[in-house]
Amino acid sequence: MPYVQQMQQEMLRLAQALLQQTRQEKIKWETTDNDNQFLFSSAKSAILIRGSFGDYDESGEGDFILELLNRGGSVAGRFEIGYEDVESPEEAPNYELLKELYLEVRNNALEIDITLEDIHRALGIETDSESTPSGG
Amino acid sequence: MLVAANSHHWYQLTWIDWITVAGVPLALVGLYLTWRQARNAANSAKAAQDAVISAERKIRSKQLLILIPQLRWTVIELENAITVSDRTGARRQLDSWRWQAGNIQGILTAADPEEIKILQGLQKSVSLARVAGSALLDVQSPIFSGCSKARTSIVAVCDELNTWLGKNSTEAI
Repeated sequence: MPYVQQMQQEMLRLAQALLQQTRQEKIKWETTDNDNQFLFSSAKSAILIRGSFGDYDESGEGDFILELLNRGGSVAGRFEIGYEDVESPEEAPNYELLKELYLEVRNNALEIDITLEDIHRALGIETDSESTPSGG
Repeated sequence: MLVAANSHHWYQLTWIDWITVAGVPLALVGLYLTWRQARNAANSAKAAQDAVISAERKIRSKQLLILIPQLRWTVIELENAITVSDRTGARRQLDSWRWQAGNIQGILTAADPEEIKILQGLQKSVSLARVAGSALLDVQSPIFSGCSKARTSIVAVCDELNTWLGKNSTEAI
């Protein structure tokens, strides 16, 4: 099924672009009614990312789904990967990509870094960057 | 010496020289008149283009006027379903919203900045409606918190649409 393979490649290309732009804070993700699912909306399309942890013995590992929605909210493209796929050498980088994207997206949508920084400042706790010796 | 011998005073100009001198301001006046004509033509073209954009927007707003009551009805029904904890009813209205919002997205154009904002709001509401619809499939999940963000975004985009419609359907062509 070449079409499915092409779509998978397209979804991976989207994942890389999303990771880059999320890191650069060029895009803003939003929370949804599902705590593990985050949304990025454009004018006539959207991206949903979902992550679930706790299904594996290894902590911090899980399953991730990236979905491309059309203007009616139907799934136009989907890429799904789980920790069990890491055994395959071809899938391991894709798993890392989606896991990294999910964690970045979660941080972006929930503003975790900013929130932590603020509460640390309010409580007078040194942040990691402040407590690290600057050398010299 | 040669230069001095060949130099002329202004009163020594021939009538042909005088015609040339008089031609300079006339040429400038001509240039100005051409520029003014070109500017008027450009202004007319811009005015015509603006009129076309305004007419198109008005047609879109008339199309939306027909769909808005249906949207309002869907929002009211969704809120009723949430209030009485009617899971099936809430899912039905969320699906209905997705379908109707998709139609509206087809009418609005992504070229107008105001309409882009509404399109983004609609897309967000449609996507959140999808997430909420899936969440409601789990019979253990609470209905209100399962579709609270979807409901909020639906109400917000409805308000934006109403404002846009009010503005564009009353503007004179």
